[in-house]
Amino acid sequence: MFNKVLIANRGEIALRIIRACRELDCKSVAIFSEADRNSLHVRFADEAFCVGPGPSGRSYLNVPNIISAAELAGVDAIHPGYGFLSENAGFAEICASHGIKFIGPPATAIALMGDKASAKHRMLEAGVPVIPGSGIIDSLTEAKKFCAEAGYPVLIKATAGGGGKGMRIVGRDADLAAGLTAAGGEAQAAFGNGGVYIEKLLVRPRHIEVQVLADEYGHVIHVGERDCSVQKPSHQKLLEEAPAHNLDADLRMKLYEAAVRASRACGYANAGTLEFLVTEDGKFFFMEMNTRIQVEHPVTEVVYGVDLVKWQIRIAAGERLTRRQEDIKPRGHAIECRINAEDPDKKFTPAAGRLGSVLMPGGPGIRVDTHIYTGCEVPPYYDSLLAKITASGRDRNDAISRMRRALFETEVRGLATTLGLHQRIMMNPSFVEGRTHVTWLREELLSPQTAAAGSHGG
Amino acid sequence: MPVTDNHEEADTTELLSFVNERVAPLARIFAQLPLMQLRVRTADGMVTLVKAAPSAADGAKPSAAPKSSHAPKIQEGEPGRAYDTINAEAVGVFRPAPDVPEFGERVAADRVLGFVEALKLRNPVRAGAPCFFVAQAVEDGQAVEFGEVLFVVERGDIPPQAESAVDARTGFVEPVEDAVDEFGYALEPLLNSVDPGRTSPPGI
Repeated sequence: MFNKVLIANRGEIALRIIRACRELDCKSVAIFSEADRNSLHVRFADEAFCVGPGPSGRSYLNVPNIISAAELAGVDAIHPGYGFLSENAGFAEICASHGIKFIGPPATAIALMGDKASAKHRMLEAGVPVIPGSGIIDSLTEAKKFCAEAGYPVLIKATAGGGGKGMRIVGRDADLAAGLTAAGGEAQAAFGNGGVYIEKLLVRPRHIEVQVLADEYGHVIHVGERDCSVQKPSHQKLLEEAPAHNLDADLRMKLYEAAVRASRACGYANAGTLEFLVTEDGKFFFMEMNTRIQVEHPVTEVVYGVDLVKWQIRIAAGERLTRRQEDIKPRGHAIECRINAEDPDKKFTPAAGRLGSVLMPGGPGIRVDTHIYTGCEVPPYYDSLLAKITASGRDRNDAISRMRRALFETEVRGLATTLGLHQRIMMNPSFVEGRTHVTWLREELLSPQTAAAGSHGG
Repeated sequence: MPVTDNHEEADTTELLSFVNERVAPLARIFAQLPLMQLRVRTADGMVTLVKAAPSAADGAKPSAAPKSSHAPKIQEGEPGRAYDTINAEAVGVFRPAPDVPEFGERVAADRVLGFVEALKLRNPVRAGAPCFFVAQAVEDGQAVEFGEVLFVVERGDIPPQAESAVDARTGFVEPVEDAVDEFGYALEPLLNSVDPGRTSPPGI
């Protein structure tokens, strides 16, 4: 096991990793920006280094300062969490070149799966169904040809994209040129890479993803699936469940099998997630692989009794994955609600500032992952996630009852949050019946104004 | 002062009055200075004031890497801050330049005052803007994090020892032994106001 691990992240995921380290008797080193000086991860870690000012480009993405802090502290490994440097193959290589273990997959797997085109290509080779899509679009003629074959609607996506940026839905030939220009410009601005491609847009699919764990000796298992269909108009997840309800047993096995096959095909090790879109007629398509721990990992941990973050560290330290596939069985159902500092009535505009009173729920079946506390500052520079509330129960209805109760107990004052929206979701009959899909939230619950943000790809 | 034939008691009384009347006002000024040590020499003697290492209550937790007890903690907007600082941009090990300026020396913007060694690179720490040098705040070999104060400087047009002493902007700085006379002169108004033994009128 490692002696000391640096956590190259902030917020709730930094706390989650520090907790895993402490339980593994491994020292933890936090990094922080000047805006996060009073953050809980600084307090909970054994050591902490300020690596830069508030803007993440100069702090949480400041590779020289992070590696230098790692060397000064004498760490064996760096856990990147999610976001920031977690899917940066270059960073993984730099860690290796300084004799520091990157807690994640090999840099080659990050690079392969991080590029959407190469990922899709590898999945096709491995026999995993992918969404019909074009290559990088060089001309309007090429784009028109693809759309004629695949049929409208289509989705224009950035090759380097993520988080809904550089995406446009196009419903007819006439709008194609404008869509390409807009998506390309947005992608150039957001990622420094204006490359876009076109995909067949699936109508009202569910987002179902499969968690995998692989050790460095070729043992790969899946740890069940999550349904993440409740999404903001920007395609960002808001609520996740495990397992996916009303999922045909055959289809479920096919998803598992595809996920394990896909992981093997890219030489994967450590924790990863294969994201699929599942259509009403029971077809599924590979969307992307996230080569890191996911925000929504708690629902899997709760239902399958597997500590994913500890396994990440243990696998990176060279341990063998001792959990066998046949041991992985779901127990009950879990739902996670993301409490974000965002105003759902104002197109989910992020809010920043000082929080007032913060009260988090407790009691049976409730898990809370949060870094906020009464009076703490929410800096404007980072992700707006404040807290993840996970409710579990014998079955989905039980979990919903607990979540309703937990959300009733929760109080986050001072900034607009998604708490009220989650309360509405929990009371919504079609949510309770499990009829969600990726555009469900926009269609069922959001004000026309907020929902409209989605038609522009948000 | 009452006359006494007990020399020991007289010494104690003198010491107490010295502490109360001379050291206490100095300490109040020193507390507001971004300096960890202050030595004041006058015709009557010398006193050295030393600040304790920053406590955990300062917010940021000290890292495990060894840190000098000299490291001043300066928060933006801290009342009484009299000097400008040059702070670390890189996380690494601090090395002073071979020719660290003298106290009060005029320093050009591109002058390299020291280095932060990180990842086998020596990142030069430059003055950044023309200034007068006041003090080096960290020791050779000390691990520094982003934002840590490396040097104290005076960015104004006036060298640190030239202006009035009472506003606490003069360099009551430990490493400048050779400026003692000037300090003694500069301190006079302050000392006069608290020293009943002086003949000059108080308040000058």
